[in-house]
Amino acid sequence: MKCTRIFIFACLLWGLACIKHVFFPEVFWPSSCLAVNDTKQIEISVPQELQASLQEDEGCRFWQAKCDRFFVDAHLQPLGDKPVELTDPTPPERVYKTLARYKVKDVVLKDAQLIWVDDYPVWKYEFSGQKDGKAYDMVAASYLISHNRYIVTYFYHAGSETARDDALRSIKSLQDSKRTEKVEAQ
Amino acid sequence: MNQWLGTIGAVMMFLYEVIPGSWIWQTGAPEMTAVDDFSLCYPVAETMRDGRTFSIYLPVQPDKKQQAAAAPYVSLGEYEAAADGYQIRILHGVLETAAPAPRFDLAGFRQAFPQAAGNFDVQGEGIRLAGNKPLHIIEGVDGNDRKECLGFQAGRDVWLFYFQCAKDDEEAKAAIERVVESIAIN
Repeated sequence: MKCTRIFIFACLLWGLACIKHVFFPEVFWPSSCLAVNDTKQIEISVPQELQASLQEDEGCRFWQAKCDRFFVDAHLQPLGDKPVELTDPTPPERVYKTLARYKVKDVVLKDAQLIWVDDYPVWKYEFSGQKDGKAYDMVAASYLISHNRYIVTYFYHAGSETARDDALRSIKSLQDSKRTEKVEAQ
Repeated sequence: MNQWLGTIGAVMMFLYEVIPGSWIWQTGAPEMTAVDDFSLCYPVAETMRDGRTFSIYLPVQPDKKQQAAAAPYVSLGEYEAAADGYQIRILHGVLETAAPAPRFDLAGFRQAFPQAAGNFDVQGEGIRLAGNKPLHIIEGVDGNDRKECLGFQAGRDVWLFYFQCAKDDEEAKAAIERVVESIAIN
């Protein structure tokens, strides 16, 4: 009887995992830490862990990951004490610079929307463009968190709804959490 | 029978704990393949005297310098980019008139790039196409280094390129190849 219960429990566990995968695939994504201070860390979930680059890009630290459905780049731009206009829907210059870094040409801004993620204001931009002769769509999120701008850009093949859904899920996964010993992607 | 169910249940729970979700839940073929190259690069673009634009993508941020013009050039600019494993130098000279054509031979490249001197053992010399433009190329080895010099003239504008990396550094060779492939004149 006890053994049957163990089996039923294991089946339930796997069944729930399957349901979670179908409805909340991001549950299985690893979270990568973008910044850390004495008490808090900023984390974002992406299907593959973000790898920090040893180089800097014009004073910005950056991370990259190539996932099955999209490529993602995260740039940390220190803003210092410069005031930032939150209501301005124009994408920051850094967003266009990041697209240029990956050879994206003929960039067209399709949508700009202010959303809230974990109590932080986030500008979400959607672009289309050409790279190496192929059409790509890009979703970029610009988070303003304590004198820093985090720009996370997702590149995927034009028209891929699943890749776009994954990118939007990842954008909404950003959170600040209590600092733990786990400091990946640093 | 019950014992078997219990054992299977225990194994299922063990696998649930130890196997990363991404191993099991991967569905469909990856949309991002090796063809989707997402190397970070820095665009360099200059308008030439004939009105066309020369552009190239470098893997690291280049230093731009203006050199003292020396005959036959009336102005001479330089881009230098170096990272772990490779060195890239680009010279852009402007001639007073479209003639005389500069020398794209070893002596000419040695004059432009001191690094091309020494024990440069030439292994190949000819023309290669990049950006629909025929480029003069000389490649060879010098000790453990692989060196490549390229050049072309477009009216009054002369572009000379020098690439160096370790002979067995496949990653650096691929990075250099991407740079050469990115040359475009529009």
